Amino acid sequence: MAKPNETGASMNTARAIEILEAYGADAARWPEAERDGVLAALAAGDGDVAAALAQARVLDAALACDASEPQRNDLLAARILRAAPAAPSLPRAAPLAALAACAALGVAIGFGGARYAAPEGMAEAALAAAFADEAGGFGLLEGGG
Amino acid sequence: MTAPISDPDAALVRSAGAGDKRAAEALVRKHLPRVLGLARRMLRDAAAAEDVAQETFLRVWRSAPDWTPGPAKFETWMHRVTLNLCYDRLRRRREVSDAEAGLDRADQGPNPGDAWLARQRAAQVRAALDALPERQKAALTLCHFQEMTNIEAAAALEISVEALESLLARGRRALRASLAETANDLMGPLDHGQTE
Repeated sequence: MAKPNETGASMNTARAIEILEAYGADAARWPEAERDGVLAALAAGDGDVAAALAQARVLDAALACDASEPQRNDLLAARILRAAPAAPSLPRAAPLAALAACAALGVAIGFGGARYAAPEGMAEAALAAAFADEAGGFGLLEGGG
Repeated sequence: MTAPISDPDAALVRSAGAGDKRAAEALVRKHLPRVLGLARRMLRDAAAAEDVAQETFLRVWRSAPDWTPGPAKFETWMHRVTLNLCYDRLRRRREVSDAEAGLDRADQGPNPGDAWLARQRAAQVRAALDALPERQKAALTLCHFQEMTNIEAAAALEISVEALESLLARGRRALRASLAETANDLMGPLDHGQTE
């Protein structure tokens, strides 16, 4: 027997049973467009549809034995997030930063080097010795001029 | 051509693809439990399910920068990726060995009590579900446990709604038959619907 549904079309017993056999007894799982048709078939007291509903309920209850709540997994979430896309870096930022770091290093070395400069006089003596060597003699070592 | 549908995740996916860590975190928070649940149910192996979930999100991250809304929602697409990864693993597992089959089956030893009965019942149902052909199991899992609509589940399985219904009906019929064989004492008369 056909029964009207919300859209004005009719749902026959066979289709209502098909829906129950496929989606089970919970109306929330039925195809939205046909939900009212199945409910109308049940409300009309169709025995075959009622029997299909009862059978579907038993299987739904059995399936509920294997139901489980979705579980959080923070370690896995962290692993997944580590692989998430990173924001693109500014293309010139890295070379500029490297340049700035080099300049800072240079200045630091310059100031630091001054602190370790040889005492006045010692540098001149070393310079004279070097030129004396180049002239072929050992003037400083020999004490001669 | 099918028009793009309204997708509540589209903006998040685009932001995550552009490197927005908060958006990526929101996607993971929202979808990881369901992806993991689907993989666990399909594979019955917690470690393998984690691998599948991680690989699913790696594919999300790879696709996110170029993501454009299509005929399927992002969540549906992600379920499809998860299912395909599960199918691959199930196929490899079948090729290697069937030795693990039955590990979750009910303990036959006597141990009366409600808790024992509940465990037996759950194990019977799990075994019956796992014995289904993988497409039937996937269809039931999406519609029954993942609470997807028939349209979303059909899209995730890349089949028509009619084909989905056929998978569901055959799956439920097979489950009834399988459970009725062994579980009348645990669950009542599954094949006659006499509990009303």
